[in-house]
Amino acid sequence: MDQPTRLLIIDDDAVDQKLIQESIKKVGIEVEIIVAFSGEEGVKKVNDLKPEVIIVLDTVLPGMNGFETCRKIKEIDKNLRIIICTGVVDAVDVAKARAFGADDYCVKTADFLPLVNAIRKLIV
Amino acid sequence: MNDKFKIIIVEDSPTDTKLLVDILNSIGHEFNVRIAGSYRQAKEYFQDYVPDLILLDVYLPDHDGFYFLEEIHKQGYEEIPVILISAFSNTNEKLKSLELGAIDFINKPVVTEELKARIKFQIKLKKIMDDHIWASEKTNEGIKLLYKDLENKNIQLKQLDLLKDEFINNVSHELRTPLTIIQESVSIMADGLLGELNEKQIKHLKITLENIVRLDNIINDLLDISTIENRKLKLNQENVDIVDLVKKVVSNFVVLVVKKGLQIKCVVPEGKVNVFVDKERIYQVLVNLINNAYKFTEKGLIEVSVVENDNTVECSVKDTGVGISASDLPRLFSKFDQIARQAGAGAKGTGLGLSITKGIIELHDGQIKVESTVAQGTLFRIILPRPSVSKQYKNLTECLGEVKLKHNNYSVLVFNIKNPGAGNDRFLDELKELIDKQIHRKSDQTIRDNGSVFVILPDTKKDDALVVLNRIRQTINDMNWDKSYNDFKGFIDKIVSFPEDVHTEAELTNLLKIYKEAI
Repeated sequence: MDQPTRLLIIDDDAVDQKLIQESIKKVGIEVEIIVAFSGEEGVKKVNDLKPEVIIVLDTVLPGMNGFETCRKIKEIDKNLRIIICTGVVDAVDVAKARAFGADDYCVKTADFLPLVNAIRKLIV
Repeated sequence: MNDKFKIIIVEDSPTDTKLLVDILNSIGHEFNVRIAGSYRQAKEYFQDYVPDLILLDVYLPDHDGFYFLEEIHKQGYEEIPVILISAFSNTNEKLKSLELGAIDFINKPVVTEELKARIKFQIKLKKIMDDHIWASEKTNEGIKLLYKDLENKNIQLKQLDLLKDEFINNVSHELRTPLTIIQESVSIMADGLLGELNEKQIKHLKITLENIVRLDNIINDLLDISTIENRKLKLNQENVDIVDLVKKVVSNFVVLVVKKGLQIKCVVPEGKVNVFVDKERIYQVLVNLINNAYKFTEKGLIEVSVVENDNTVECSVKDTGVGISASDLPRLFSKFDQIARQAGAGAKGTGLGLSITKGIIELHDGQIKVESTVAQGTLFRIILPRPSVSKQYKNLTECLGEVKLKHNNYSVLVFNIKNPGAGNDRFLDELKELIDKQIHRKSDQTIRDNGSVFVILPDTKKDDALVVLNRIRQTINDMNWDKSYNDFKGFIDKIVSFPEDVHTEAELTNLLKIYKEAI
């Protein structure tokens, strides 16, 4: 890997954004992080900056929600891996994530470990 | 998700195989296809390749299709869908294969569109199943993680709460010292010891002192609540006549209550009602409840009563005050929560009073209950357990246990009444008071316990204990109870010393019991 993978994080919560980034850095995953605070911004950044691998999404976003954003991104490039990471676990939500094309689904915990593991799984 | 759909074709005819492969290719889905010409070959594939679908010709060179179905069942692959391809001639054959787990049939010669439809259906089914499994796995995993996360957060919160309690405790202690100094100095000034003061100065110093007292009360409340919550509050339990205690508290309030134009009434049974409690703490509780009634009552009556039940003693404070609304009742005992009751002057408090009260009562294994109607009044009921023998002995053994930890030797004096029975136990109470006045060392303890009075004397050998006993005997004699009371027949006393007489705590308790039964 000459160039680090570009990772887009779409989350409207600035604190979560920071915490996710720190958790990723802490475990030594080398990625270049791009941030977006809404679904619309995320889709735009996918078009403009072309992150290679992963998009991380929260389901509840201002404007377009996480599921729709997921579908839009998959329409742009169906090979982009998408992890949906959310604070609630709801069987219906999980099934919906799958139906909208998400590659993985995990919960937000205080240490963001499930998310970090999911990212690691997709990068390797 | 992008996994290819895995198929094994079990077919010995190359022509038929090619036809099947062509049909698969025309579906437009990505397949991973393996072809087995015999059952044995198909079986070998299973070791590293578990298919999503098997297309099975019923007649194979080595065995027939039924045998194959049975085998994959036996090996635990009954979940894999199998479509049989054959020139089925009779219904029995179809039924048999259904029994063996086949899910579908295609008649030979194969009709392309029919097979395509069947396979497409299987692809769709697999996707639904996969999605379902994926979703339920993710859900379960998520719930587990969230649960763990919550647990961790809970632990952190508990630690924080503990820290907060310690903080309150420490700060309250630290506040007390300077406050005492301030109080001293202001008192000296107010008393005119530092020179004469004019009226205004005296007035302001008095206000200062009053507020120092208020502040002191608040600090005491804070200390109380933190010791109760940390379970550090140790009760000094003994047999206490609750009737006497209630009368004392009420008499302290009479002047205040009458001044406000209220009445206060004591409804208690005749004679003593003993409860096994910490006298000072229950006193505090009563003061608290009566004070509340006083604060929130503008006219009418405050009634304090004691009622004996079979297993409990109930003590209640009833007022004709503003009352508490039903929606406020649940919050009544929570910390720092002062519900919006209209109160008279001086009604300000810390909001801790009732939670302290509740804490104290619960430490006594008791209950506190409240009933209230707005504008009609409030009734607080304290329900205390009646003293139980085993618990009282436990009190003695607990005391002894503590003494034993700190001292190598000790003696216990035991006083039993010669003619125990209703009414006579009061002599033991009086004896206890008498002895309390006699003993001077702080480490000595008197316990009125289970129909006896025990005096625990740490670091006291048998000979020295005898000196103390003789002194007490002399005092009892001096009281001349036998002349004042007809029913007084005297006490039986004993000395037990450790380690001269007994070697273990259990031996001691045992010995004390024997003494008791000997009467």
